[in-house]
Amino acid sequence: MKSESGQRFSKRQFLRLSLAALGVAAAGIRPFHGFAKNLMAMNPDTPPPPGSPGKYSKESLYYILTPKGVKCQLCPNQCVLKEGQEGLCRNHVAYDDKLYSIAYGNPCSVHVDPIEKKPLFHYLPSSESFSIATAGCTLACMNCQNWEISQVSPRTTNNLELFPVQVVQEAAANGCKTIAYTYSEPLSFYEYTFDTSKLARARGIKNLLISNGYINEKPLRELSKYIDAANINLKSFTEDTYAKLNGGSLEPILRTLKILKEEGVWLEITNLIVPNWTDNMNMIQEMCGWLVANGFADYPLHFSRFFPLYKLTSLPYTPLPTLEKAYNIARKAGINHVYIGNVPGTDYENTYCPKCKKMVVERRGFTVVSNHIVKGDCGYCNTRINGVWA
Amino acid sequence: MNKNAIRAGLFSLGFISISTQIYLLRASYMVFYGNELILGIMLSAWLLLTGAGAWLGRYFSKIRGPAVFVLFLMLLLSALPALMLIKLNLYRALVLPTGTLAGINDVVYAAFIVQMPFCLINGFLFSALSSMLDKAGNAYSLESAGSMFSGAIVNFILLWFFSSSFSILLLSGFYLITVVYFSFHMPGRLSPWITLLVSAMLMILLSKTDIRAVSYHALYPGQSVIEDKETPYGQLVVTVNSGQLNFYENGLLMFSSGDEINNEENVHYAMVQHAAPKNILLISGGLSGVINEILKYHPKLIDYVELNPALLYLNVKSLRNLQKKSVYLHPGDARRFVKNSSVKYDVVLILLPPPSSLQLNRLYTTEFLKELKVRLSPDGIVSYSLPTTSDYVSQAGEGLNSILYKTLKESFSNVLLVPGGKTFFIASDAGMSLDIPGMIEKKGIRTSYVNKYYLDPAQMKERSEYIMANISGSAGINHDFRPLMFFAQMKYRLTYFNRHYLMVIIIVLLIIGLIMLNLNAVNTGLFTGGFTAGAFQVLIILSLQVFCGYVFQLTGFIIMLFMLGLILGSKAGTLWFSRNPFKVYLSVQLLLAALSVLIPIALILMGRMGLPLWMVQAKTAGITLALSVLIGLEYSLAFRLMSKKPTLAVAKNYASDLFGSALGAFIVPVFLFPLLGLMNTGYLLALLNTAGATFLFIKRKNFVSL
Repeated sequence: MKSESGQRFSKRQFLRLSLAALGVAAAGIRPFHGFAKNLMAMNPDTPPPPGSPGKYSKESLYYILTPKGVKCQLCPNQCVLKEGQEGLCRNHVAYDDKLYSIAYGNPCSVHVDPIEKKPLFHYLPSSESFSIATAGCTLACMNCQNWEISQVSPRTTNNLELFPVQVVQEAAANGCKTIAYTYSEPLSFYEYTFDTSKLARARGIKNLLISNGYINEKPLRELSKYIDAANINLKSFTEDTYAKLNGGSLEPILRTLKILKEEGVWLEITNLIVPNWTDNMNMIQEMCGWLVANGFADYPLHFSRFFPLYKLTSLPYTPLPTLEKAYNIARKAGINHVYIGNVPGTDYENTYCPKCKKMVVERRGFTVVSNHIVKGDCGYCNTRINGVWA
Repeated sequence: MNKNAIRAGLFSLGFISISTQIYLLRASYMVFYGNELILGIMLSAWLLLTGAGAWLGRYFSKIRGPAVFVLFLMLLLSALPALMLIKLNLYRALVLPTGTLAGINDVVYAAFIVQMPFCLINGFLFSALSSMLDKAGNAYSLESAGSMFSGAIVNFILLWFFSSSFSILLLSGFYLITVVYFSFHMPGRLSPWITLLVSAMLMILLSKTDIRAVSYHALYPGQSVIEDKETPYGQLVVTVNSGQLNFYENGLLMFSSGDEINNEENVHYAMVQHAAPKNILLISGGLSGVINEILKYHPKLIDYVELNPALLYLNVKSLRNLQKKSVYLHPGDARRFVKNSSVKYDVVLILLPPPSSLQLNRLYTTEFLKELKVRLSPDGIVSYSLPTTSDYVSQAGEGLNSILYKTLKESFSNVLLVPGGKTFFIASDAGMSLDIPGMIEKKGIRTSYVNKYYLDPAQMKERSEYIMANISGSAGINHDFRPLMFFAQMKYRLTYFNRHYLMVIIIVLLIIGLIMLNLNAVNTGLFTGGFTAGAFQVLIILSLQVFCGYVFQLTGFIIMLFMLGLILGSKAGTLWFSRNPFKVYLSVQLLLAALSVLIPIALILMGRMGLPLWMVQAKTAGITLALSVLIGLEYSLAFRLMSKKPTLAVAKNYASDLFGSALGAFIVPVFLFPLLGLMNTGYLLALLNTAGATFLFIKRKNFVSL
């Protein structure tokens, strides 16, 4: 090879030049790729409304503009985003010095489920819930069962078009008493959840929030005005586990539980017992103690069996004796309604009166076989059974 | 330096190298839940690093006290196999969070970091000892002989009868004997006695090290190991925690006891479709408790086939439950069993893991389904499952579902998609229904989960239709010689880590580019030859599995035969063809190009002709030998063509061969073969070898005078 001056290039020189060029190209690929991806995503088939990043977008209500970029104030992740950058949840993007949700009206999962599947056992039993989700999540749990939608962006999923008005219409058409914001993480598609639940409330349809509870106080209080019931995943009871297993922190979840109770939202709590991560009985004891001390003794606590999923495939299933130990600890701590989930064929799905100990609701799977609750009271001894039964 | 001592050093180098590689790859299967991608990364890293070590061997001539340095490296090498296995086994505890899947980054990192010391020294020693011997062709055949000998001992004796700890001890001990022998032929009086002392200390230390026990805590946290069997097919471990039994194969959890949901779904979705199932074939998964579910239908016969015979001889409670009158256990390959069986089955339950390896893929192909259909009753039912879900079907999930659906549709009129914890594919020529809860109730089958209390037919229908709406009409069909499902499963697995397979290809192409820039025309021939050999080794073994079923000894035999061919070829190059090595070298390259097309033709024809087993095995052996003789000959001739700078020649030639083998063994089975199929892969390899020959022809002036 000869250069312009007629000098020979040696193989070594050529190699160095090529490697340098490759290095520059590689350094440029990622930001270019990100920009190109954003650019393409901002130009779907339908031209976006002027001044927005796309058809399925809406300006967020919770952000501020800082010298470093747009700072999202929806959840404790508090992402600071440069132009075109997506937040950790993958549902919010900085565009033109504003924060937009790009998960608005474009759910990727829409199904009708029995309410007991959420699980919500003390709220409108035997009813069906119109369940929706967009992609995205504020956490990154290693055992997520919906990782195919929670750990990706709405830009990469196959979505339907279902704006809030349409969601409510479809729920009514399917005879569903409730709309559940579920599967992935509804707090990550906050704006969609908020607007839909407002419309649903106006139509007399109840709103269910199935969530990890990872949200800041102000947006939560606003949303709570329209949420009727919630199942919050209390994944563990140490900051360390929350950080390593889920990529979050514990404190905001505990705050969420208190706020939802204050705002009068019906609440049920789920704790997934993961071997070697969240099966420490001392931790479970502490968790139950906290729940009772903070007024949650009368709210159902669901212990759920872990199945190896997603990145945690090398752990065994949770043994039934472990779940039973947790159950007994919770009952002893003073929690009145404790359930064990994902273990069919046991009596742990039934509701018992905390006073006379009789079975007031018999359940098998997602089906209520018998119900002896009369106007919210035990049919045998008239003790109040906390819940929304009709 | 005594030539016999050097020859012994080369022989033992091949010996320790191949045996360590075998145990390391087996360990990596366990730590990283192996398949061809993982295997390819580990093997490629091994060969690349060994090649790099061989490359560094070019500086050997500049070392003062070369014999002492070689002795030092040999001693160091003897301790490394055990150390590497411990490091790899502990990787999960030290680097990965508890119970997590290793990502591609983790595998690549481990592959290079864990293997680097051994491989660099191994490669360097080959170059060093070869240059001390003067005839690199002989060096190559000696090293290959050592590899062959070691491979035979490991595959036919050690893996069957001894633990990995004890085997490593024996192998290191044999290696140390040659090291001591080497030291006795060095100048100086002290070296032999110091070597003897160090060797003795190493052996004592190794004998105290239980590689497996060191890693239990890391691999099975919070569980007690009650059964631990190292088998040729993999490692079986049974643990218990709080009374629950957990079965692991190669570090991957197969199932836990007391999992009613999984057991009932695996059985009842399919069984309930048949009016009166009498003869049942169960392929894999029988220890989980499914047999008790099958027995609820009062079948006459349950044939349970399990590839790994050791699974059927574990001393655990669930196995004792298998000892029922109507249950017959068949250790061995399921495809072979189906071909040789004379029973007509009403229901075939295939409870295999997803097709994450080429070996597993064979049981998801249209060819297998055609063989299976011959063994089915007219309204017979076949059931598969995939780990995709019905909440949302991703693009990767759609790919996987679509290929299996289309493959089943090739053989059956009806394919029912049943949404559950996984997606179930129930295939039959008879009609089927999603009203599974209704049918279960009608038949009076008692279940905990598969019943009307958990399953709503309307909701099942809605989800089934959703999955069906995401079946792609343009999906291909899964074949033995075009394993599309294997590739789709790999893509699906990569989405766990937000990785795209293209990234892997780009990195590999970059590596190839970098390597090629440093090769001359002769080295390029070795690179393309090595690439071809690495690729065909895997493809020939896979073909044998397709024709004869998975038989562990056959795989070991093919590898041994390959080594034998290398020895014969390199010997022939040393003894003959001295008059015009260039012409012969060029001819070898062109012959390799021709073989690259002829081998796939031969394999495909063998599959179609239905030859007797012994003939298939003989022809495959012949193909293997022909290929490996050419590779060995090529290597030997390459050294002749670069004999002016022998040390450099050894280093570059060995490195080129290894680099080529590494990449061939990785890229071809993992990417090219699934995407292009066998024939097109052959054409590509022919093109590669022809390009290498053309390059050599263009540069002939540098070599023709020799």
